[in-house]
Amino acid sequence: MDALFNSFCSGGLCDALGVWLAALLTILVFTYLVRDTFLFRIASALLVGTAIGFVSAIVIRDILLPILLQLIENILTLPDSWLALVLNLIPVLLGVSLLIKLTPNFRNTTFSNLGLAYLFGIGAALAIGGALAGALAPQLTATMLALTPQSEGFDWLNGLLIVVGTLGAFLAFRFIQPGKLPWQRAYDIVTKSWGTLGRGFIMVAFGALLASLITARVSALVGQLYFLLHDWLGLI
Amino acid sequence: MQPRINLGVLLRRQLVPVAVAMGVGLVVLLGQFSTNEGLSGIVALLIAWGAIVAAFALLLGLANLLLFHTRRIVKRDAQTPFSILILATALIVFLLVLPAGGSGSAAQWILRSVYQPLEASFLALLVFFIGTAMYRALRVRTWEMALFALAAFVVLVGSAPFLQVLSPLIPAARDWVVNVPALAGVRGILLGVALGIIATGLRLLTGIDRPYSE
Repeated sequence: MDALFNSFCSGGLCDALGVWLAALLTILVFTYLVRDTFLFRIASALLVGTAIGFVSAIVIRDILLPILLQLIENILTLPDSWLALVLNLIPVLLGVSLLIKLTPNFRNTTFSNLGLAYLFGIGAALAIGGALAGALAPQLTATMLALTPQSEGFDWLNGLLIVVGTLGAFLAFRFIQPGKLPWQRAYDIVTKSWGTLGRGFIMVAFGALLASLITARVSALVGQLYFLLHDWLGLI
Repeated sequence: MQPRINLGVLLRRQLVPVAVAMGVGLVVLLGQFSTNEGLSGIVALLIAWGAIVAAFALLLGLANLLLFHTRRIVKRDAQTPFSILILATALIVFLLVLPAGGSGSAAQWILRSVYQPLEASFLALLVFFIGTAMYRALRVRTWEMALFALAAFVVLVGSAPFLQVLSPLIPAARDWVVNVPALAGVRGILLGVALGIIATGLRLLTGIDRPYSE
């Protein structure tokens, strides 16, 4: 199929066709600025269809076909390859248990839940490890390092602000009813006030994130307009 | 009369998936904090199996999507033409990409001429929606929204190259906002998210939450 495509595209035909197609699709998407028309929905359908076709082809070609070919090879070389056969068969059976969920009669059987249970188990373990080693430990370390003595001017104030803001933003998500003892009420007042201050830091973070998002999206918009005016129309 | 509960069936339905999730999860979790070579090998094998099962899960999602659009075509409602377009595009792209994979010339042409322009245009379209959302947010007059707007303004102005040349204070203010208060806010959120992930993960691994057998 690729050779057929290459022979069809010889002489730069596909490059020119690609520019015209890309320009047409860009205009279809931008019609939404006028109103939600069928042209925009055509563009949405094309995006979804392309993504489905691409992902399914890659998954089948690069993951599922190799494992199925391996299984066939294991079966043909039995009894020497029984261990490899078992090791290759287990994930396929777990995968098949997931596909059984498509059938209305067997979707709630014990077997059909095994693949999902496996994915949840492995996903939870990887998520815990990632959260501990990738977020919690490095962020706590960086926050504590902000308190180390600074050599330059007001850097110590920035370090203090980071620590106060980090703890405040963390406390902003504390929703615990206060106890009745005086120290519990005092503790509640302190954490609530600190949390309110932390909400301010969170809003600054959201503002900065939004500004970065706008900058990135404006870059995408400029890129698409440049493509239309330069690559397609050749005006600039 | 109360319905009779078959304890054996209930135990099998609940216990076997929980045992699989707990067993696999605890071994993988242990393997992440251990330097034992044997355990690392087992964890690598379990994760490789996970990739294969995840591929099947993706296939399940794709099959579900195809079934949904096929049903819509059979029902012949107002969305039928778009469902036909989705299925036809998916089939054409699938047939073009399958023989040579993602690095083939057909796949690259589809990425360059169809997927990339569509994705970039959709992202570019978001500028207008973000602008509208920001305008609506600014109508809420609270001190939090004032801080939000001020931070967004400083970072936006500080990111514009033609405004940066006016004064060195503009990029400096942007850098300070990004590196001090915004960093503190994001760090606090990240700490909360990490603790939330750990708590949810532990609930799954201890069998308190069993979303796979409900």
